[in-house]
Formats: sequence, structure tokens, C-alpha cells
Amino acid sequence: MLRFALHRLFGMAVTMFCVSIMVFTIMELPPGDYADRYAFRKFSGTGVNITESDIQNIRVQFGLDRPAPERYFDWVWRIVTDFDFGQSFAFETSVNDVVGERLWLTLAILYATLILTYLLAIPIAIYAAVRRHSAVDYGLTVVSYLGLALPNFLLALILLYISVSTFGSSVGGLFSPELEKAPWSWEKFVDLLQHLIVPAIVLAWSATALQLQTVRATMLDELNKLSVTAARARGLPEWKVLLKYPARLAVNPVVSTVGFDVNRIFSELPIVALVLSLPELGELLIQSYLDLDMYVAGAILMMLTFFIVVMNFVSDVALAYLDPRIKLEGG
Amino acid sequence: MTDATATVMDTGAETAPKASDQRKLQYYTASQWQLVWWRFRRHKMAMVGAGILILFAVFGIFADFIAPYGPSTRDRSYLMGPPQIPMFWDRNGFSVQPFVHGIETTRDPVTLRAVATVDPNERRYVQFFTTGDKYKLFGLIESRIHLFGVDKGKIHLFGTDELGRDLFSRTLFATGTSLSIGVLGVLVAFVLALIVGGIAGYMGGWIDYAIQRVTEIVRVVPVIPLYMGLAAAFPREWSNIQVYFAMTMIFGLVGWPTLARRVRSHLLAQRGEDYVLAAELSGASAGRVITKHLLPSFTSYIIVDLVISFPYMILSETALSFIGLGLRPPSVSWGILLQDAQNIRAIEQAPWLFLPAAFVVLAVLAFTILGDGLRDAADPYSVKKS
Amino acid sequence: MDMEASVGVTSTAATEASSVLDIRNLKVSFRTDEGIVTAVDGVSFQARKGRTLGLVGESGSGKSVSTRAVTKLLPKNAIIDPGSAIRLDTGNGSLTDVAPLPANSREIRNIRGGAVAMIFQEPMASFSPVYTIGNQIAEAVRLHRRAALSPLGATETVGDQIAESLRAQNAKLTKQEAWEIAIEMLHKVGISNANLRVDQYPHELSGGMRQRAMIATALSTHPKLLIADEPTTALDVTIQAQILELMGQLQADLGMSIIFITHDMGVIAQVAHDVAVMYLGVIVERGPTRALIEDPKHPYTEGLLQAIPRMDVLSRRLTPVPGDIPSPLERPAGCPFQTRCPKRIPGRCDRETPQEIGLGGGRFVSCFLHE
Repeated sequence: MLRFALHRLFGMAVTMFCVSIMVFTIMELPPGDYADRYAFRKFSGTGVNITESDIQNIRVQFGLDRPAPERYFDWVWRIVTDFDFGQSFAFETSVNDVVGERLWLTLAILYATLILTYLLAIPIAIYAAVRRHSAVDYGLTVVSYLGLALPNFLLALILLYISVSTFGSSVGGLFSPELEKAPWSWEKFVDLLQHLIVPAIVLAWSATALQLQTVRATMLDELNKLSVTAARARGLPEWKVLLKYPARLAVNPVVSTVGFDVNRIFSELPIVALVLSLPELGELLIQSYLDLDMYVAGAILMMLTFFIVVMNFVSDVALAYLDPRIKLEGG
Repeated sequence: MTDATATVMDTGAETAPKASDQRKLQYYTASQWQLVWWRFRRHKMAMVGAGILILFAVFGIFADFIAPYGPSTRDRSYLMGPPQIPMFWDRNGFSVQPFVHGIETTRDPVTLRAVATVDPNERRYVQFFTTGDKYKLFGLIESRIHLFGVDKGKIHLFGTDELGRDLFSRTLFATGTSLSIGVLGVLVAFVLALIVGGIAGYMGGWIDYAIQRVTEIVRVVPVIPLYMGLAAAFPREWSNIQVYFAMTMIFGLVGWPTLARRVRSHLLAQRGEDYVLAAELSGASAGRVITKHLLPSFTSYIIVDLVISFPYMILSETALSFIGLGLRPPSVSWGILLQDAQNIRAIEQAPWLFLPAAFVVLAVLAFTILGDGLRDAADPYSVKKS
Repeated sequence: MDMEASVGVTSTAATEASSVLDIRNLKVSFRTDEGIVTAVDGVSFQARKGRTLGLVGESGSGKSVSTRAVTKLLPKNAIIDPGSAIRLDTGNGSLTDVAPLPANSREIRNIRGGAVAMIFQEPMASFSPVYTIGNQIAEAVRLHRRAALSPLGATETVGDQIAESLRAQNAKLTKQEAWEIAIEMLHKVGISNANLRVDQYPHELSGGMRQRAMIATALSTHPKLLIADEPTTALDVTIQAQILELMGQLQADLGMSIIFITHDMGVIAQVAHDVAVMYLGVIVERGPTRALIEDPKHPYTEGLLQAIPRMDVLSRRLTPVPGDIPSPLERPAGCPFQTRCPKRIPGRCDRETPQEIGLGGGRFVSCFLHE
């Protein structure tokens, strides 16, 4: 098991290294560089005449005159050693300050969504597979199609519309206005949990739809296995047969796709966050892309990807623990 | 497939060949595509999905003709106007020809905003093949004829936006744009996937390893933030055409590894089959084995994969344009139309701005159901499930 | 009616006493989209204590369905005809009809794995891959064995033990005790290092060993009847011989009755005391194995026997039974075998259904040729 985990950890490091190259490339893609934008932002409209040599000075000052590979290694080195993601020019402070609390709020949204997804998808799908052709089963098919077809941000808009038109209040944000700036307290924590419900429903929407289908299909597959008949032939009560044999295996594909779900949630998060005005990383990501604040964007992209990679690792290890056949192959 | 196992060995010579035997014979001698088509035809929902998509494609291709107005044509007398539904009767009686009521624009004496009020006494009759804005169909055929219109004033089936632009016309044009981005994106991804996945699957070795790694990376980076990052790099001075093609390129470039992975795994599964070995032993070249033996063995699966990847492309385009990182006005796409429905005030005052969303949902639903139907039909061993 | 009568002939007082299972006129059909399909159409046979009954037939002949009806392990769309009788020794020595019991009843659950145990064709698929062998054996043990039961190999007979265990509704065995029984059973079926093997997962065992473990699971509860559904079909010939030998030896030790389902006449010749040949849901011929093999009466039995290779006449060409078994959806009129029968009497076999005829010596055949 330890060797298996180490093996996966190594793979994780390699993946992150490759991802960092890609992210850095994206950061370098927009036309013009940091110095251009810095100068434009700082001095445009102030009447100060900026010459090419001034920009060159800024460039030297930030070390932007060095070749890209050198800057790349510098960037990665600072992240790895000091957890320093560089400077945000739009906010004129360090990226870490800009990201700040948003990181934890993003994780809160992520875990709320994951928990909601699995709490809904696993039991309902198992029930639907066992009671095939029942109302629940047909309902599941309809819901999972809708879950795939109705994009999350549209669902968010619809929920907004409903809340505004019927309750007269917005469901956006993560905190009540009076607690927004307050220091952390139990009250604020409860407030956060309450505000997490709507984003979690919106983000869990399509993930749940997919998992419902996966779990139901696996469960149907497993129900027809001979080992289930063998367990029945041993005289095990039906509900124990279902829970111990097929249901236990129907959870495996869920565990193996946790990383995929996290990816999906993070993918949809920015737009949902924009609609629901959630103060987390996705919203900041869109803002930084629009401002071409590439160090912030790069940092967020790295963080999101890092969580996905970590969740992939967790899912690999959990799966190896759940399914004894895997240890044999993984080495 | 009970008919497949049924006996053909009917020793009773006196029994004449039955109608069911005829059917069986037809079944046994049918080509792969005939079988797929027969099975697909039975899938009612998938047929509906295909119908919706064909309709949308027609909408998109002939938008100039079907839409009563151009995408940017403004009706200053009807700003933020609700949908007008053609009717056959009102309090003034019944009419065989459908009509909508006329509009009267007055200024609100307090806010000074132009307010459109319905004049129930004026009828605007719906007419077909009316003369309207000039357009060039496919950039070639110049015409002024539109499918429908009204005798005086304008008709807005889906209402209008803040600038008085006809939402129905704009939605039709957007359908064309959004679907074509999907098609081009899938095409780019498909060609890349086929080449790279084909090589990886057939050759194996380090090429395979390298492609696996690339796939791995694309699998861990969240897709839409990645698209956004690439789209953010588009220079502001690019024309809409450039942005359009750049978007299809990034969808294709980011989308191919997933498809390539599928191609690869199909190939790996098939490569070990005896018929491939037989072909190789009889001296067939690698190219021949791939094109004549391997590809036909899973063309149907590839088609299914393609159909399934459409919704992702369409949703990505919608999402990108929605947040302002994709196509930019005056282009129209579903995402751009939905931008207007982004803030609460807009949805409160003009919920009809949501109507393009119905098109997005229908298109994605249709693609998904069509994909499911094709997948069931394409699998020669599929037993009817669920 | 004739069927009932013919069964009555065999049910002499002596055989009745030793019968563990007595099935009469069993009819099983399935509700399908195409209508009701009859899979088993009026089958009668007995399984006796200490003896092996071989059920032979091609796939689709209804052998598995008729035995699974005993423990009600049938798909949900199966209907057991109310005229059917499945009389089973559930442990107290007398036969009770289990046919009317619902599949999810406690009584049926007690029978499953208790009085009647089953082993299946695919030893790999019969075990769940995510639990150890020991876990799955101990599960059966804890479900059916009570603390009062003496350990295996004691002087009491199995029947007494089970009777006693049912009388004394004692507490369940602890996990530890069940685990020890699992090790003991693995040892008994010839698995070396049983105390290590018990902790292993199914994929870590070989095919033959898995089938041994399956037998250990089935026998761990001391059943009166073991239903073996093609237990050796998926195994190598040498392993097959070992498993058959093991089963014979365990039967001698434990005195249970075995119903051995197979399509292989050769295997039947080795293991079965009695044979019933099934075709399209009916038993076309049954009787003591030796007599039946030496002198088959039904054309289908003849066909089956001609299709097995024999060491003494190697030069003879094997003649397969021509054609395929018809789909149960397209049951031929008259005798079910008439579409493939070389000795068909035109105008008779395709109109009337032959009834079972007693030939003496415990032999029965359903064929107009022997009227």
C-alpha cells in the first residue's frame, strides 16, 4: 500500500510539473507583457509621458527582461519554497493577499457540493436500480438528462429569478451583508453554511446527474453477477445481499471519479460564482482574465489544478483500499 | 435477440417458408449500417432528438431567410417589448389570418422613458414571403424575401431587447453561430484525435506514453478556466471572424486528447483480435490494417463519441461568450444573447430574454439523447436495456 | 394426470423415506414482452439421500430453472404454476411443500444455504471480488449454524445435527467461531495452508481452488441437498476430475444428496446414480445411470450418447444431434423433440404430446416408440 501511494505521489509531482509549464505558457500568451500593462494602468490619464525606456526600466525592475525559461523556474521556485505566487498588478499587492480567504471559501463550496452530490446520487441510484422501471427509476432518467442539458449557470439564473420574483431577495453571496466583514465566529460559520446551500445545489446539479447514471448502471451490472445469486443462495436476507455485494461495488466508480467531479465543479465554478456573486477563486479568475492580471490567473489555475490532482490521488488510494484487485496491478 | 438463436433447421419440408423466415433472412444478410439504422429507428426519443437538431441546423443555415429581421435591426418603437404571439381572434372578432396587435410608443411623463403600449384596435396581419431587409444567403444569393412578417410595423415573436432588436431573429442567427462553432470544434478535435490516437493505439511505445501524459494533464486542468485562459489571450483588435475561428481552434485543441484516448482504447482492444493478426500474416501493410480492418470495426463508436462531445463544445462556447471572454457583440451566439439575461434587473423586467436558454437546453438534450440512441444502435450485441 | 400416476409408481415407501427432494409436475414460466414463456413444463423427479441425480440437457432445456425453483432463486418475472409441488426435507426428516412459499419469506431464506446449498459454473464469479474467501464462508456459517451444533466430523449424522440445531434456537456463532469453521472446511476440501488461504481474495486463488472453496462454502452449513449447477464446466479436465472425486468423497462422508446439472453425458456417467434427461422444459427420459447409458430409450438420449467420444471405439465418427434446440417462444406442437428427431412418426409426433411411460427398473421415457 505504501509503495502504491508513493508511486502515485511521484506521478502527481510529474503531472503538476507539466501543468505548471502549461499554466506559465497561458500566462505568457496575452499580447504585451506585465510591464506594458503596469505602465498603462499606473500612468494612463495622469498626464505623465511614458517612453519606451521607462517601460524597459519597469521590465528590468520586475526581472521581465530575462528569458522565459529563467522566469518560469523563478516562478515555480518561489511557489514551491515560499508559497509565493508573485504580484497582482490590478490590486497592486501580492497574489497571496488577493487570493487570501477566497481559497478557503472555494474549498468550502467544493466540499459542500461533493457531499451533496454523493448524498443524493448514491442512495437514489441504488434504489432506482433495485426497483427498476419504478417511478424513481424513470424520474432518475429525466433528472439526469436535464442535469446534462441545463447548464449550471442557467440553473443559477433561474434560481435567482425565482428568489427575486417570489421572495423578493437575492440568493447570491456567501455571507449576509452584516457579517461580510465581521471576524470569524460561530454565527458567521452558520451563516456561511446557509449561504452554501444554493451554490452547492447549482454546482451539484450536473455532477449528480452523471453520478446517478454511473451508479445506476454499475448497480444494474452488479445485480446480475453470479456472486449476488451465490449470496442469496447462502440465505442472506435480501437487503443485506444488496448492501454487502452490489451496492458496495457500485460505489467504486464514484470513488474513482472524485477527481473528475472536482474538475467538473471547478470548471463550472467561475461562471456560477459570477452569477451568484460568490467571493471565491472562480470569480476572481474571470476578473483577472478580463484584466489580464495573469499572475493572479496563473496562481488560481495552479491551485484549482492542484486540488484536482490531490483529489485524484485520494481517490486512487481509496479505491485501492476498497478494491483488493487493484493493489495487485498498481505495484 | 431470440431470433438469432432460433433454429433454421426446419426438417419439416412440407411447411412453406414463413414470413418470419423471410424477415430473418433479411436480418442475417443486412449490412452493418442497415442494422444500425433499423435499431436506431426503434429508438423514438433519439429520432425526436435528431429531428430537433435538423430543425436547428435549418434555422441556422437559412437564418437570413427565416428570420424576419437582421440580427442588428432595431425597432425603436418597441424596446424591451414582451413577445407577441400571433392570434386568431380578439375582442373585435375572429380572423382567418393570424395577426398581432399594433404598438404605440409614448413617453412616460415621469421617467421620460419610452414605453410601448399595445393598441388592441390595431391589427397587424401575419404574412408569408414578405419583403424586408436585404441579405445575401450563403453570401451569394441576394434577396429581400423573408419567410414571414407583418403587413405594417414589425412582429417580435420572442420580444425585443433593450435596443429594440428582435430576439427571435437574433436567436436564429445565434443558433447558426453556436452550432457551427460546435461542429468545427468537434471536427478539429476529431481529425487530431484520429491521427494522434490512431498512431498511439497502433504503434504503442513512447508515442503512446507521451500522448497518455498529455491526456493526463488535460484531464486534471479544469476545462472552462483553461478555455478562458486561452480566450483571454485573444488580442482585442481581432475581428469577430478571427475570434470565431480561434475559438473553434481552442475547443479542438483542448478537446482532442479525450477523443484520442477513446480512439486509442478502441484500437488497443481491437488490435489484439485474431482477425487483425490474420490480416497482418497475409501481408497487409500497417496502413491497410488500420483503414480497412480496424477503423470500420469501431466507426460506429467514434460517431457516438463525436455526437456526445458536441454538447460540451456548445456549452463551453455559451459559457465563454456569456462571461465576455468568447465571441463579442455584434456577433450573436447563444452565450452573447444570454449575457443580457445576466443581471437580476434584466430577468425581473424582461424574462423573455431567457428564451435563447431554451434553445441551448434543447440542443444539448437532443445531442445527448441522439448519442444514447446511436450508442444503443451501434452496438451489434446490445440487448435492449432499460 | 398420467404424470401424477407415473410418479406414484416410483414413490414406494422405501424411496419416499430416503427422498430429500420430491418434485412433482413442476411448471415454471416467465412473463416477457413477447408473452408468457414456459421454461419448465411439468417436470417430476426425486433426489435421494446419499445419491447423486444427474440432470442432463442442452442450454435452454430448463435444468437450471427447475432446480432454482427449489430455493426460489428465479428472476422476478418467473411464475411457478400453483399445480406444482416441491416437497423438500427442510431438516426435520419429513417432506414439506415449499412451492407456495414466497421467495422473500424467512422459511425460504432458511432453506437457502441451510437445507439446500448451491454451487455454480463460474467459480470466479460466484465469489465477490472484494471480500476474502473466509468472509464469504463465515457469512454462510453464521447464517445457518448455531452454537449447539457439534463440529464437523462428530459421530452424529448430519441430519441429526441439523434437526438438533433447529430445535435448539441457540445464539449465533461468534465471528471467531465461524472463521474457525471456515478454515476447517477449506482444509476439508483439500486446500493446503487453509489458515492462510482463508484470508485471501478470490482472484488470488486458481480456478480449481476457487471451486473447492465454493464447495467448502456450500457444505459449511451441512446441507441435505447440494445443487451443483455445471460445477466443472469451466475447469480443466484434470481439475474437473479432482473436483468430481472430491464431491463423491464428501458425499460419502456427509451423506447429502446431490443434484448434478451438466450437459456432459461423460461426466454424468462418472458421478450420477440416477439420470434425468431434459429437453425443452420436459424430462424425456429418466432412470438409473448405468441402465440408461447402456440402453437409451429416447432418441434424444441416444443422440446425446453418440455425441461423446469413447476410448473403445476411436474410429467411429461422432454424430451430433442435428439442429438447435428451439426457442421456448417457438415450442413445436406435439413432442418437443419432433423437429430434430430422426425417428419421428409423421402425423403423430407433431400432433400429440407423449406421456411418461414406466419401463420397469425405475426407468421412464416419454416417447411414442415405447408404447
